[in-house]
Amino acid sequence: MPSAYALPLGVIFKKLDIFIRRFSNNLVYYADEYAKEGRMLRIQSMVVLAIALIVVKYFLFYFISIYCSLYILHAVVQRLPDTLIAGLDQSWILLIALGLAMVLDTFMFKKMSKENE
Amino acid sequence: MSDKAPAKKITGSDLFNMMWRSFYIQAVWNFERLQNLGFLFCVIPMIKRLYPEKKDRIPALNRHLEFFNTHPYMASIVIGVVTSMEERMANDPAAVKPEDIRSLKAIMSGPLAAIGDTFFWATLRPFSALLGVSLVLLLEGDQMLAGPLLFLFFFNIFGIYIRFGGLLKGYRMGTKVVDSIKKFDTQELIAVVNLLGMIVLGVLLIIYMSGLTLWPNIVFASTFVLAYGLIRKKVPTTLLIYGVLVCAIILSYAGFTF
Repeated sequence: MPSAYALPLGVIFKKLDIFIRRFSNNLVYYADEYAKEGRMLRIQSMVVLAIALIVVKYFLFYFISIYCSLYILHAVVQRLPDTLIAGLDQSWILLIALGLAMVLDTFMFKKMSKENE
Repeated sequence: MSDKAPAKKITGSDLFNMMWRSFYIQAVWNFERLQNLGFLFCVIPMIKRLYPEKKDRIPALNRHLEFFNTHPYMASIVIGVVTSMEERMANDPAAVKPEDIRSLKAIMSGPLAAIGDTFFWATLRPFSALLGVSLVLLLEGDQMLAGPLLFLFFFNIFGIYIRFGGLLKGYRMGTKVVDSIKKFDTQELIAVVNLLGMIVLGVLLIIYMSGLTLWPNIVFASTFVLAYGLIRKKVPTTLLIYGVLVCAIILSYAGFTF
């Protein structure tokens, strides 16, 4: 099932995300030291490194997982029973109705809370 | 000949440099001081211009490495105001104190975050998504690509405008921009976008349902009403999505197709 693949991919992504966020904390400590010495180029290189990590985290991870899922999901769908496929096939109209109901809820009765004003 | 040092002035290219850097304000988001390093990265062109000597830069670098957190788009306004204050301080140290800059950053970041979150994330993004989804539902084939493109264009045009315009306005107006923000009626703007959203949703429902036959129309309308009622009763939307899939499969097993 797709969820069998989604779970490990999700765990890997979250681990990577936490690793990069922890790494960013270290970058700030380095930046503190460089700021004390007035080394701006080094501070900027910390940010460039962080941007490179974001590219790795989001672009490469999403690209690889979406690209792989094309083949994985295709293989999974081919093994599903016909009745299940027929049920999923006709769920499209219900999902659109649900999605639009969510949109209506988003636009109705929404106000900025008093403390946010 | 005057002994007075030439006035330090931020140039247009410095402002432009800070504008594009503001896109990366969250690049080094960290648990300890959130957007501090991103903010410093944005204001480095200003520090370079106002403090050419290395020893003069150090206090400014340390000042902008302190805790900072606001909405990433609205941060440009703070960057603009801080630039204006730093410029005044570099030319006349008695006019502005470093504490003034610190407190201004702290005072502005909270309300701007609230305005940005409510307007950009909770109002403009769903509205832009609705416009994109409308195109996807109404168009066919390759034309459907126009949907996500419209979403990206419509949402980002406002984001880019506030990033660029906010920085310029903050720099030109200085601390007076706080009064300008106070006068700006965010509540009214949000109400207008919400109203537009409901109008677009209504038109989309009419056009979409007019293309369906009787049974799909009944199923669609009843699902819409039921789902809306359940959402109002705070039923989790994830549960509703899985519920809808299960219902569709059960109906298909029972031989009910639409």
